[in-house]
Amino acid sequence: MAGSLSARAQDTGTSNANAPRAQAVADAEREKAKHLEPQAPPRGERKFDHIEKNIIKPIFNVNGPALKFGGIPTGGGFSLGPQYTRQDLLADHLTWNTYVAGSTKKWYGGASSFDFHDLANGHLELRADGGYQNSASVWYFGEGPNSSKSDKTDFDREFTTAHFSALGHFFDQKLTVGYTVGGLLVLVGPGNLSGTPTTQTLFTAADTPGLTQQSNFITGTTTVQLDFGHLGFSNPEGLQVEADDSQFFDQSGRQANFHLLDTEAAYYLPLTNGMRTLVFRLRNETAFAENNQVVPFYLQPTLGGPDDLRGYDRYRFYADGNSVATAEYRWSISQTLEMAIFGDGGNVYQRPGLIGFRDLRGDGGFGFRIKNKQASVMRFDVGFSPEGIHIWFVFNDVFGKLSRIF
Amino acid sequence: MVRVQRRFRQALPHLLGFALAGVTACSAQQFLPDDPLTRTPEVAAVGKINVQDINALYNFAHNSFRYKSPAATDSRGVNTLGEVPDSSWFTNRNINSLNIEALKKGGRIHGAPEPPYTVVAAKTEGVSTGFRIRDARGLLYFVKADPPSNIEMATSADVVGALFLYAAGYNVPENYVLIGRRGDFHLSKDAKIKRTYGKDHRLSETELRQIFDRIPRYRDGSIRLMASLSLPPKIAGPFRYAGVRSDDPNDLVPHQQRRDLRALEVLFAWINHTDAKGENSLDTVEGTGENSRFVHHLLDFGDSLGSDSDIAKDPRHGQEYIVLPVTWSRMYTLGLHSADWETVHFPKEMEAVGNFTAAAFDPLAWKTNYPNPAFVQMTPLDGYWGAKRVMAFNDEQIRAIVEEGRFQDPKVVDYITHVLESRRDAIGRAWFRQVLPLEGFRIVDDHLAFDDLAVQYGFSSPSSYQVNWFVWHNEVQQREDVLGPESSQVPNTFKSLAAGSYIGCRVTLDHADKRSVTIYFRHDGDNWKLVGISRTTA
Repeated sequence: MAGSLSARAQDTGTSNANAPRAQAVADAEREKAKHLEPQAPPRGERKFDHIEKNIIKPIFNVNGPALKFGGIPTGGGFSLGPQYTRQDLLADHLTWNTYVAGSTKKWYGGASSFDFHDLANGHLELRADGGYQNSASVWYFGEGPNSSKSDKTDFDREFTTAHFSALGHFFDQKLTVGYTVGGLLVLVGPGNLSGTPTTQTLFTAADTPGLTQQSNFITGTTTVQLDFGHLGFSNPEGLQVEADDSQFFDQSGRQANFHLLDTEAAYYLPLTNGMRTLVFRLRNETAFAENNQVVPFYLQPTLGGPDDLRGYDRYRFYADGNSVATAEYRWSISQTLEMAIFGDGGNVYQRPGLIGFRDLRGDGGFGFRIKNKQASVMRFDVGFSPEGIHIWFVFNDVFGKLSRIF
Repeated sequence: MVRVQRRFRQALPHLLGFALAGVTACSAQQFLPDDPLTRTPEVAAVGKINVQDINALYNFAHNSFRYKSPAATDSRGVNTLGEVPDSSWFTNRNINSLNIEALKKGGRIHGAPEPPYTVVAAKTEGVSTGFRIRDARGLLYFVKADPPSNIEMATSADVVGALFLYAAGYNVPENYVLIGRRGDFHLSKDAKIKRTYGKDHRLSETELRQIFDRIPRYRDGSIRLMASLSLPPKIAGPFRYAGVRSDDPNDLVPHQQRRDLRALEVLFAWINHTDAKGENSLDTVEGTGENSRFVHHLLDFGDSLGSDSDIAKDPRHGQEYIVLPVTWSRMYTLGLHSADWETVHFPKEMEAVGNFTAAAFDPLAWKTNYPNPAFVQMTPLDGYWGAKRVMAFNDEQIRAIVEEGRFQDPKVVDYITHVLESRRDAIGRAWFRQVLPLEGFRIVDDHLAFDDLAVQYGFSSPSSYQVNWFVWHNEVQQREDVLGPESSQVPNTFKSLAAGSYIGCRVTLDHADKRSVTIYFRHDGDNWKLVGISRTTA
């Protein structure tokens, strides 16, 4: 296996007598040539390869069986379960995902979805999904702005859903419009939180519509998303607008026909080459009930929690409408860490006509975000309000896309 | 394997890695008859060759958390002048003597792809659109596109970056700007597409159309791509910036100690190539039998200049590592105190440039995306060597290479050229302060003569130097000082020295300056031949 002195070396006149330096190098090369071994990664990398193959990839597999982190409604605590995903179907145009998950607060649920994406040259997306969620201890403090924190109760909320969606993406994904038709089966019962009274013991059906008798619904949701912004370095830049209008058609004859309009606008103003960002967000959720119809409490808009009033309990305020305004100043600590100081202000109101500034609640706080380019991988926010200090550790963007619980 | 590597590592100081430490393995002499070595001899690569793979996640995490520079060690793989001999890593190209045509051509001997082009494969993963074509001659090219927001930015960076690094002495692929029409591209019936999640499938016309839909176009409808000629077929995978290949007999010097790899940081800083990771390299085995050699290439310069391939470069790139160290003071100052680089002006009106500037560029503090094991061990001497390569490019040469980016707007060429000139000068100023930047030592008319690069490039005014002469007893590696005036005149007593004798001198600026250069000459009968240079740093 020994090599020989190359033609190149000889060209430069490296013979033993006249070129001892070159000869010494060539001798060392020949010596190494006797002991050549196939190239292999360093020991640490080999160990990591093993861990990645046998632990990391099975847990986070994006195309096959894996572990599901999350997957239950907000408030359920840390959740985990098995999932199966296929992203390679129909030439990567169909993503199928199925999971079941349970949480530390004994919430559980599961769902299966089929997402046909990048159809019609990337302009069309079709989706079908169905799921079941048992949220065993959703907090309820009573309706309206004057509900008392001391009236904290919990109830069990079971939603069984099915949806069919069609979404159109236009102008280089800057505009998305879509419609979703679905069904919602509801079952509400006493919560399981020890030391907290159940909603049924403290409130009555008279002041809490839907508490004792629930409806099933056909739903239809129109979605419009407009992105007037563009990519930045730590955050997006520009204006993003989104609106969902959901119609609820009561199928149980309990006079619960209404529609829910959810609108949000966020404006990202970059400073110092995008290393600082001012973000302003306005959001309004209003339920419009038809004459003599009611909005059941389990579908009422809520305020409080990691995505709106961060100084208040999750689900702190229930009513037929709410508004929230947020301002955040974010600054980059490093490419993977960002800090923010924020202020949230908002209120709830019991009829659409009462929208305004009365009964405002406010908070302030600061947060850390672990970043992957523009997305927050993890968010740690601390909110301060007259009702105390609340610490949130969540895995989403505070101004992410509108989400629906139904 | 570890034992074998350790054995060779122990032998290295005595071999190529000279650094005036002695060559005891072969002789007690400091200098050998063939010093200074101009080419590293290489033997045939005849072992079993595995294609090396680097785990990108491990490499990122491992190096990110070892960001603190280890204690500086002398570089190896240099000759007695401190220069890097020619090898399968590096070729001493005399930049000053390269004419404009040669610079523009670089190592590109095959020429740009010739139409019609046959698309033979495509990919859907990765940050930029890419596919492979065979041209009319059957040559295989890897093709990449610009992001829709910045036409010309990434494709020009890949071409311009390769040309600069080739001229500087490194092995790079043949990269070309390809401007063509959609009709020039035809789909091979055997073309495959590598999908993100699925297996390879036959590439359909619809999928090819979707790929082309993502490629930005000029107003006349023509499309612009970067085509990189496929390297020779015997691929051995990327090289690492640390350790040696156990299957390459010529790979004796740990890569993190190679001057040509350490000082690559200076060249990368110049062209702002922040994505300096092992994965952006490729070892090939070229030649057959006794002539087979590993050849080490640098790849993928789409992150150079103002480009981050799929977006204009993040202002933090080049200034801070992605993860650590964190500037914790930014927490309690609420970001109200901005670093200089955070507020620089980028030419947003020129999308082809991206974010590229010389403002707030500090050559000594410039950083890659995450720590590179060779770069973090760079010493001032390595930096000086790299700075000499950078400073060798004159304004006309820089412009000539930038023009190969084939920008439509001449202002873009002007801007990038100007920025590169400014960054070049910043590099020269910074690194030439670390050592006495004296070169071209010779004895003319019984006087020591040399060139002060700082003066030559206009960074400082001429200085007077003190020269202390000595006789060098090469067999016992001892110097015998010669008393006399501290002048450049060679002492008269040296005239009686026989052929084969050695003399030397130590050049200093003044006694307070720690920087010095010690030069060694050997009497070759009629002339004094320069055989060794050693430098002390500031």
